[in-house]
Amino acid sequence: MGKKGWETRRSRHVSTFIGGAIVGSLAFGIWPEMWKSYGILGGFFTAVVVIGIMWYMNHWLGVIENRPGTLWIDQGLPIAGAGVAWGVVRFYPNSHWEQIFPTLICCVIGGLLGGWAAHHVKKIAPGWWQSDQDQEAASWSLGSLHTTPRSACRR
Amino acid sequence: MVAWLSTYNAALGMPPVSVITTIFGAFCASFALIVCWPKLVQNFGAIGGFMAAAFLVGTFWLLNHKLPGFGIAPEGIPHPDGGSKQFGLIYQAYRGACPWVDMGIAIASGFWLDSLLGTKKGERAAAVKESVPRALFALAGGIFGGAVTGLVGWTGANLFGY
Repeated sequence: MGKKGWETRRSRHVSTFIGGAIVGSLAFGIWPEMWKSYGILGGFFTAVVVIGIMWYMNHWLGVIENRPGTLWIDQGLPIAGAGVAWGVVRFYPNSHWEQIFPTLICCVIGGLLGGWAAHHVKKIAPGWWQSDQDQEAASWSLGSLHTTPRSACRR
Repeated sequence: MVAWLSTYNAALGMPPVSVITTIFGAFCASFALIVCWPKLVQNFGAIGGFMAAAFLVGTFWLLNHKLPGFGIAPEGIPHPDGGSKQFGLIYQAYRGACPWVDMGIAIASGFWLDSLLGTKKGERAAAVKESVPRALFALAGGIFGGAVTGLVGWTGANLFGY
């Protein structure tokens, strides 16, 4: 890899940074206000709008770098980082940031357990056995318009 | 048992019952998203991603993160010992008046571990090493975006009495 390769990797990192910044900002700029204004349905609506369009940007179009064969970096990571940073800034200087660690550790433990269990369940769940062709046949696909980018769909 | 579950445990930093609810809530969200989201996208294309955002994130947001407010106990049901009841499965310390812990970290760590387990044994160390800078840049982006969003409370503006 010459200079060009290095520049490509750098611009991919910049792309990842931008994607994370936008999704973090949207999640915590909008979600609390929608919840306070419209309650449960506001939270649902925000999930559709914010997570939907940000998933489209970050993972379907691939603004957060996830090349095939690499470990998946989900936009949940920047959202979690944004939640902490948002609280630290908002409640400064009384942010009590040290109090989040028990919850944070429990969240990571639960998440890793979920990932481990999902990995093993996917081996035995019938829906995950099917070959890609069977899946295509069973899918509500849009014909030739439906081309799933490899960045958006991991198996 | 009940006394133990509801006793604030200074060593844990959170009530033991909240350890259980937090780990379970994180597990549920992480597991369901990892199992369902890629298949929804495979079956429905980009529309499946929007469906997943609504059904999975919307539902698990309600399970894990709902707070007293419009729709649920607007007054915030007071606890006899002070404070108000916790509603979501994922515990927010200091009654929510401290930085927010989002279920995104659970989902992201779950996806990461799932793809790690799906990697061949010999290639795992290299895969982890490759993913670290991407994770750090994504995290740094999130911290930057969240911090800037948090700044809006510091404008000193007094709009409509807020």
